[in-house]
Amino acid sequence: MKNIPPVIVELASDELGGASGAKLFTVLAVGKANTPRYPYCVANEKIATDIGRVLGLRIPEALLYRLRGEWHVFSCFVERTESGEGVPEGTAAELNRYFLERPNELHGMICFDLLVGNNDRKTDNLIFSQADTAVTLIDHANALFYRKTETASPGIARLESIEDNLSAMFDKKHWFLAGLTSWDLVDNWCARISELPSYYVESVVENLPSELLTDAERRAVIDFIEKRKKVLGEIISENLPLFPGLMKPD
Amino acid sequence: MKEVDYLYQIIRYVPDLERMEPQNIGIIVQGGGQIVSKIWKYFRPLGDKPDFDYSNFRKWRDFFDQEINGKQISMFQPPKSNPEFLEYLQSRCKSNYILTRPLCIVTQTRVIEEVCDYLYSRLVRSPDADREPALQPVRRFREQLQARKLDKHPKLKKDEYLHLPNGDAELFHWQYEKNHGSDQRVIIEPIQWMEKIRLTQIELDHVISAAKKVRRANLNALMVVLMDEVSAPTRNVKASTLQLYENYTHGKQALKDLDAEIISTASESEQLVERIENDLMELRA
Repeated sequence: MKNIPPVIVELASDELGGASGAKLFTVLAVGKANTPRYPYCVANEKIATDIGRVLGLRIPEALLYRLRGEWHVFSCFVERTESGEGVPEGTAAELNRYFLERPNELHGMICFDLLVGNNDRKTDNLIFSQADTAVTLIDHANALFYRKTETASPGIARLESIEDNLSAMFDKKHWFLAGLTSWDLVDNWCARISELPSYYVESVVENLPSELLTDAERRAVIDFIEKRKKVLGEIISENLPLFPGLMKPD
Repeated sequence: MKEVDYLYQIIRYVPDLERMEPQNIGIIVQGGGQIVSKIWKYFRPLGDKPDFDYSNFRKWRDFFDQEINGKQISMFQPPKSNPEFLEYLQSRCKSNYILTRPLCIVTQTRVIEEVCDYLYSRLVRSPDADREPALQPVRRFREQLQARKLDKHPKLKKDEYLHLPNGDAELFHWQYEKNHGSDQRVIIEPIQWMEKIRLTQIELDHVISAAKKVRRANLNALMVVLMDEVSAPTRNVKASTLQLYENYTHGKQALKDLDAEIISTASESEQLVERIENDLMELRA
């Protein structure tokens, strides 16, 4: 008998029917809910995840469930051995080597963070899987509406402040800004981001449960992403001192 | 003498995430611009945990070693001499291997290794409990079997006769059956250096004869031979002793010719025990 909680358990229920033979399982997942310190945690995580995934970034799916009357966001990303234990999520050297060989992925991650205003990007929000030779991005609770800090106000005020001034986004250090080094890659990602369909952004936000955001907040976050997706390249070129690896564009 | 401040963290293993009862398995100390660590190399969890994932423990041990002693990677790590580095390490440890928050210790020594040794002996393992692992492969093999509790594993047979397909029978030291498609039998025989070449030669003769029997009987078996390094005789020994030594060195080649796998270092012994552990785990699954 293993002592570790199982990752997936098939339940002893009858098959649910249907040609594909659906069954019931319980799955071990990481979960978060809103707290007084993180009043927008669930909305931030869900919106940023869905946008990042449609851009082609490797981000585990965010699933919303109501638990004890509160909305939680769950995702499954813990890599385990056959014995059920968690494995190391990659050394700094492994992650460095991975991104040196794949600068496109590094640029995609940073451009995405700039799009959704996510400043919480550090090594422990990256998971390197040796089995798949892949890096997964996790934890986007500090994107978009953010949280209250000494210098930042959460909610619509946060969206407005970083729209006016990109530096306002970095009251917390983003570790990888120096990783932007190629205008070609930046341009490619900004072009991809600009093609993000408006109907998709709207549906991601509108489909959130009613308790998570007010109508005004929904409108504000849709407008924020819609405006930003078209001008991200300009925002980056206007704020070059934040990106020491990028030369002035020709 | 002036007092010096250090920060330290305890590395902990949590065998059961529901119970959370961590065991201290290592120490990290930072101070005076340096960082050092000491991890219990041959750690085995307390209590009966026959399914302890030793290979995952080694992955974590390597992880700490690389993070602490490897090259500074500035974009991915805070400077190693900065207290922020300890918080970074803590954030990288989830589930069964965790770190305490950085804790403070004030001492009168400027030698960080002494602080690390002190904390390790107080919080992880006392020097009395530490026994140096054997250097020779046979003894290391026995130690590792014991440490991993494989010596009591019901599927690893010890000192049992094996009946061969051609009607012969042979006594083997350790044996088990691999059963994931191959049905192969794994036979492990030791040739231990017992300070007397004649005794070692008797073991060698027995193993060569057994290997020949196995091959003659066409048994689907992997023959593994643990061979200790034998000290070369001094110049003034009898010619017969010299002859025995030469026989021993030639014996290794004879076993290779019989398709035996030769384990001749302590680290190879450890790898062999790991393989056995994995095979036996698969049998249970």
